[in-house]
Amino acid sequence: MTVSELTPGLILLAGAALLPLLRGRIRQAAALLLPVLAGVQAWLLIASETSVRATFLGVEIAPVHVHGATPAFVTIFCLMMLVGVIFALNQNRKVELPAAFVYGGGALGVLFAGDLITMFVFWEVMTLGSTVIIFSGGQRDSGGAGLRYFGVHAMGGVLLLMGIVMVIAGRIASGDPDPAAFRHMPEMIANWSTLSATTVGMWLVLIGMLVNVGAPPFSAWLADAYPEGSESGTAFLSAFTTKTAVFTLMVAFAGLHMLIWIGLYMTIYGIVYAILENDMRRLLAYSICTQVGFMLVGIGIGTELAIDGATAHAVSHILYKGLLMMSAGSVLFMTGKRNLNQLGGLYRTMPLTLVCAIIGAIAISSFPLTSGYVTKSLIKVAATDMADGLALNGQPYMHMVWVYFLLEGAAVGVFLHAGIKYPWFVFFGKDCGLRPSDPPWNMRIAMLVMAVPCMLLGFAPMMLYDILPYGTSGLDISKVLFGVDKAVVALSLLMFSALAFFLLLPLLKLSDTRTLDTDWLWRRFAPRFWKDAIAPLLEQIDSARRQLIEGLTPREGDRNLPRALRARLMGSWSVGIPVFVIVLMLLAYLLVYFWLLPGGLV
Amino acid sequence: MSDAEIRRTRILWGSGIALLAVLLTLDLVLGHDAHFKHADVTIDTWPLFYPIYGFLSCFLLLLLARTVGIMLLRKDSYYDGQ
Repeated sequence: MTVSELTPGLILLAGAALLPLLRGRIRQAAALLLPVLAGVQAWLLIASETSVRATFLGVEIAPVHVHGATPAFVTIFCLMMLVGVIFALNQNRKVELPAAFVYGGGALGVLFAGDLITMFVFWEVMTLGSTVIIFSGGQRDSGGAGLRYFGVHAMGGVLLLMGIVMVIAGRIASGDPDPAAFRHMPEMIANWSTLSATTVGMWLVLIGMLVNVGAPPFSAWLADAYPEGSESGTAFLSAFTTKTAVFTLMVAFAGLHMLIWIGLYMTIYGIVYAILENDMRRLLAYSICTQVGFMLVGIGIGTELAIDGATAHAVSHILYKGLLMMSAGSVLFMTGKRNLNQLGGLYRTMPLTLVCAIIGAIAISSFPLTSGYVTKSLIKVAATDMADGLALNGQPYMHMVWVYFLLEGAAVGVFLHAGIKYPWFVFFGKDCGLRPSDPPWNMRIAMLVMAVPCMLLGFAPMMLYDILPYGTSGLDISKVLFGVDKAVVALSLLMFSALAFFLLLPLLKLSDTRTLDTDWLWRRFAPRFWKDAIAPLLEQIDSARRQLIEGLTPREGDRNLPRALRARLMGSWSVGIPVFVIVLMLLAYLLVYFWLLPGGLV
Repeated sequence: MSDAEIRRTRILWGSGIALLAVLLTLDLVLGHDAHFKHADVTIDTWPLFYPIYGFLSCFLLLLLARTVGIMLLRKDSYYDGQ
């Protein structure tokens, strides 16, 4: 492998190693330069269609490979990395930025992984980076949230690894010449309900990816962890983990219809929880679930247009969610408040943050002529096409009609929580009396850089469509997306839901509450179960053991032993010293074996 | 609320309702195409379908959220001290 064939993720990982050594302006310059370098390298690889092969444990791997969706994803990942760095320039946490580079490096590595092993390695690198970002968040519960985040993702990683090993073993057994290849798994689509070692492996891979995408029942990690990052940390977090998982699902499981239903569940779940939420960044985290749900629907439909739609939606989602998270981060940075019921009326003194938040809000709500509109529409058109196409074959496909209408309804729900509720309660609504100014210059620039493409793509969608996996083949966008009638339909849906919102404003009354989610199982139920059920049982067993030992009649000879020695023989004693001695012996054995007798015994 | 704010709120409500009226008129005048040409579903071509659908979706989602909230809302400090 030459330098020109380097996977772009390694550039960011090298940056992560370099940044702690640098100080001041040089550190800032390096942090700004590295995402640009990674982006340039990525596009050189894409332009030359480079594919690098190597061998690992006797299996052929491809550390560099360009998938159909790689160009779109890598472009937006590098942009987000750069903007995130700009947003973080004024923060003085030493660990967070290098951790963000580890995280981003892992994400870029996955985008270029041509085999399951490389994908897994970068996947885990990403977990490490993101966990450290949460740990260094400096919020009230950053430590606990980081641990829980790591726990869930470590479990997901183990399932993924088990699955990968089973899939590779199955492929080797069936004589596949490229067993580790990270590619579409059509056999999963065809046989997902049959039981064989390979399908079990595929299921495990699927579950491992679904954990990261924030699918039920593990979705709670998202809303638990993301609000505990710092202002800048959460902006990074909102971009990479779920979208990388969307990418991997797209490569491996496009067309798996189950994903449509999982996606629809996620959209509704995210909306319901976001409506109830009081913490502004947790609200936006639930909103990520909703948006990723739209992408999963696209992947589940699996047609060319749907895959393009899911890819495009991932791109625009990173743009507007990054923007919204940064606007919330700015408010948090300037006020120190994170709950909506402590905020309100900030439009007076934070005009730029307000404008950026509104741009993010109308983009996520897919108002016509915004990025969200030109991307979400692709998924909806794909759903209608599928209902039509399959109906042509003489089969009733009413469920796809339902999917379409549920997507329209969910789009209304998005507008409800992210489009109106978030900006309303932060910038308008009741005046909280705070008069913070707009955030420092670097945060303002970062928000503006994100706001421009949020709007620009709405006017010029071809900029994005051209780098999609299938280039939205054959779609007449002027007919499908643009036109007064289309705009009227989209605006009617949104504006009449806004009417309902303001008429039902009392239903949205905020209070110092949180909504229980599945993390209740590992935060409350499991510890309580241990304390109230398992621990007493263990105590019972222990006391029974003690009684048994004390009840043993000593042998004749033992009576003659001194009392102290007798107690020691019958009681328990520490094993620390014997273990230490054994470790020393093993160490000495290793030294003798490998060092003093080179090649002697092998 | 100051007088200026009350006036501003009225203007906002007024312009919002005017916008809704314009949308309703356009909806009735322009109509909408059926999304499903073969699936024998024409409900989306009905006049005023989308305004009503938007309003109802919002209403139902809020209702659903409140119902879920009755069961699952806890104090913010629920997990504290563990």
